[in-house]
Amino acid sequence: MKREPSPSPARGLRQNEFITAIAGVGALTAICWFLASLIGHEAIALVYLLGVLLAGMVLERWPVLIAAALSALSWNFLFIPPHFTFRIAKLEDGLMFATYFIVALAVGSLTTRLRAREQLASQVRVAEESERLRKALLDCVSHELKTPVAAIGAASEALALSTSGANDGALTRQLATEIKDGSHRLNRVVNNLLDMTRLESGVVEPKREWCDVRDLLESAIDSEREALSSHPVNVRTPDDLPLVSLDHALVEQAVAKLIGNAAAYSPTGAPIEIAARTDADKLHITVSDRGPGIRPGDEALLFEKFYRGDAAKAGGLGLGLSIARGFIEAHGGKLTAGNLADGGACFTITLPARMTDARAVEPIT
Amino acid sequence: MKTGRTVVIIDDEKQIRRLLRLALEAAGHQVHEAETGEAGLLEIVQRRPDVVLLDLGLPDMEGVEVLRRLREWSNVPVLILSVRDEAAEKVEALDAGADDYVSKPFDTAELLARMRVLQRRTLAETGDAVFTEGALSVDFAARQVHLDGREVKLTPTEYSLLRVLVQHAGKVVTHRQLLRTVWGEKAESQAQYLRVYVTHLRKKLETDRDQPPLIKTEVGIGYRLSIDA
Repeated sequence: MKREPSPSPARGLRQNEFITAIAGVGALTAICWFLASLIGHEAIALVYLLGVLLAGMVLERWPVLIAAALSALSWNFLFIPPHFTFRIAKLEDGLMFATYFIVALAVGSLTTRLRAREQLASQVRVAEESERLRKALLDCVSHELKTPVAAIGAASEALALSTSGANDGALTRQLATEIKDGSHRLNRVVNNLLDMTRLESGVVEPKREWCDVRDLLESAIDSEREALSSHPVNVRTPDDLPLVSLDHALVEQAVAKLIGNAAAYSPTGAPIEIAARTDADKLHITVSDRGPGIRPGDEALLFEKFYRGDAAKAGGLGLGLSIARGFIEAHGGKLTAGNLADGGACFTITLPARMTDARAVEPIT
Repeated sequence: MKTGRTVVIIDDEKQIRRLLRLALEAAGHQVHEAETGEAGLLEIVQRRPDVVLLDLGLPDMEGVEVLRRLREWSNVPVLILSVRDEAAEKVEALDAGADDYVSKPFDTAELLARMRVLQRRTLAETGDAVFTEGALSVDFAARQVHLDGREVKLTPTEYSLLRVLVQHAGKVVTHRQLLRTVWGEKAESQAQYLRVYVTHLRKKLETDRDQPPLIKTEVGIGYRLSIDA
């Protein structure tokens, strides 16, 4: 889940950066103290400069400038003879000090400016991306909402007309079916949009309870029975599958989306395989199909919102996989995509979870 | 036994009430509507309905409050109408005395089936000692369970779990209700016992994987013994 950084801790962060800058210079000075006898006070300037450069890569502009100034002063005070004064005896030392001062300030200021520019560029990229998403959302949602609404409207109007005249039972049934299909489709779109909104607002919190994973898979299959009418489903689970502590509803919905996806991308009659297994502290669920598989390079793309594969059947928002991944990640797990060796796509859910051996619970009678 | 029933619908959405009226009247029921909880309670007093359809989101009071007031003086079966993703609300209503629920947008066939289940006389009312549904038969007097005529050996806990589900056959029974009845008040939070024993029961009773499950999971709510209604 991407979230905007909240503005409130900025002041605390800035304070921390000043402390980091000062502490950094202090630490560097301690190191230089031991190095001074070995490398001479001129080379110490280079060590300090390195420190300022590093600070410029991670800290904000003002802390870096403070570090630059502070390092110049400590160099002068501690290392340039005469020691423990800000006086400089030799002309070349004076020249070096002046040069160091300017170079350190310039380096600090340049590196921070460079970083600011990079940040700006990435913000622009994010803005462009969100603009693209908004457009896709609008195009896609308006299409997906309008199509069933149009179908329902047209069919119900025809129904109203047909019942006033000669009553044709077959036609009436057909129109009623159109309305039913349209409303199912509309319902699916609305649910997907609601799920996506819930995910993006960060309110999805898993409520863990002990679950029978086989039961979870069965209810996921049951909720997709319409999509599965033309696909046989094989479920493989070990007999000693333990109870797993997870949010039944969230994981079930994620699995259901994967099943729906598998059905949408595989040819009629092609089987869908669902398997679950556990190891020490993780539950693995895989859903694989016999469709065209995933194009190399698309593994990450297909979890993007509104992404739809070339082989997709008409209809659908392209939100299913994105929601599935959101649910699984909200649950602290991972959802990955890959291809089977002998063709077809394979999606794997990996969830860290507590487990209990079903046989180990003592009977209470 | 007459098939037409008197139904009171309490829902603030006019369109839902109109549609429910169409569907229920087509099925031969008599329908009365109320828009608010207060009006609904009055309607129930006057009409003495056989079943009440109650929406949980009413403008004047929570659906659960309507239930609590209703349950002070009436045992009329109540079917909750509620939108999805509100498992906690449904559980609260069921524990407050509702008999079952359907989620909006609902299937009319499903709604009518749920209503039929609510109208079935309970085993306690019929005085039957044997429950039969499909391949399953439970003899309460002998404490014996048969599947396709073969006796199934159940442990005492498995048996009492099955008994509770059978006593509410076709209706949802919440996790809390099951835990309390089978294991006692103290076990209400011990959900893992329930999962384990439901798994055991399923292994013994759902031998045919191609059949729809006998014990249906209602996610976040409870279990339901499926029957043909």
